[in-house]
Amino acid sequence: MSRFAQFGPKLRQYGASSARMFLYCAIPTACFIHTVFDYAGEITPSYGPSMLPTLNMAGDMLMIERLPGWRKRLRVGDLVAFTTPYDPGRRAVKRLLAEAGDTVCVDPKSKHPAFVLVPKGHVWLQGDNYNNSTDSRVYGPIPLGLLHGRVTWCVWPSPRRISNGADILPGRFSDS
Amino acid sequence: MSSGAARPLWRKAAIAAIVAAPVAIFVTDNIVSLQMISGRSMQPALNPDSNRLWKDVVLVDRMVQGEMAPRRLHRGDVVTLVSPSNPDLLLVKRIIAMPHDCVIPLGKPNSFVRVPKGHCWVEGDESFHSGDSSSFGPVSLALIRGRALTPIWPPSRFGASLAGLPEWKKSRVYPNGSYPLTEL
Repeated sequence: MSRFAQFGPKLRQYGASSARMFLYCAIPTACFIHTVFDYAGEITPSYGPSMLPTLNMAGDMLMIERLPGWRKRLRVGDLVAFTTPYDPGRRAVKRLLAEAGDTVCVDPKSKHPAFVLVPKGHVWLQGDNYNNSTDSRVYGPIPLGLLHGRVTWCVWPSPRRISNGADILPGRFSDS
Repeated sequence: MSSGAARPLWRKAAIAAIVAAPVAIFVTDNIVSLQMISGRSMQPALNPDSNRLWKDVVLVDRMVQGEMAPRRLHRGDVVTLVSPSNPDLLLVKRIIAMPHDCVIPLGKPNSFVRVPKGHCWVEGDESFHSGDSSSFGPVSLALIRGRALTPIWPPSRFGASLAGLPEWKKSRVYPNGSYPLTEL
């Protein structure tokens, strides 16, 4: 008999019942999967119109990576998953538009645009669908501790790489 | 290795360690863990004697993260939270106010801050040495990683309760914007 086929009879030899055998296998496996999700990455569905046209309104399965050091590898233009500051039970995906130390012009088209300096340890997140997105324009800058991971792929239904969408133009901002 | 012979002890230990590691990681991240306290911002409740050679170790209840935070946390709880200024730093502070409360900040006695929905106001018991909500304002409940239950080291203070708002802070907290806590 192969070694794996002996696994069952050997456990029964030690007096384990079927239920205990199941728990001895299921609990470590579940914890292992949970640890992989917490420290490597996971695949999670997304819904909502705030990231159109990058992400569909419903049905997209996103791969979120959080390998150690992922916070240091974040760049402006990445899609990040985070926990909303006003509702700790809710997660969202938005695009990172500004890092700590940057100044953000909120709504350049308004008559009196507001300028916000992103403090140390915070980032500015904004949805691609500006008309229908609750993001840093409402929350303010978001602490890095709320960020959950970086979205790298959309794996289903149309597999595509989520690339960094930033187009950084050189030059000084001028309001003349 | 024939199937009939007993496995050597080191192999059994290695398999047991591999099987137990994810369970240990899960338990320490989500159920209960230990935390060593450094710094003086929670004196006298934690690390009361700075001249000691050792630091306090507390038992931390980790089942207060995410959506369980608003329900399971109360004013007066000592919590560990990720610092808003530095995501690699874990702070240990006391919750002074929960969402919708009004707080008079230290150093600005003629003003008050209304704690927004989903946020809380944290302060160290020893405010002079503490970087807390007096510097960075209300913090989101989602930044909280655990609730300190009791010190387990040193053994002389094992089992001491940490919860409860110090009396000298109650006059600055107005639950739901009504009368201050000292008058309730």
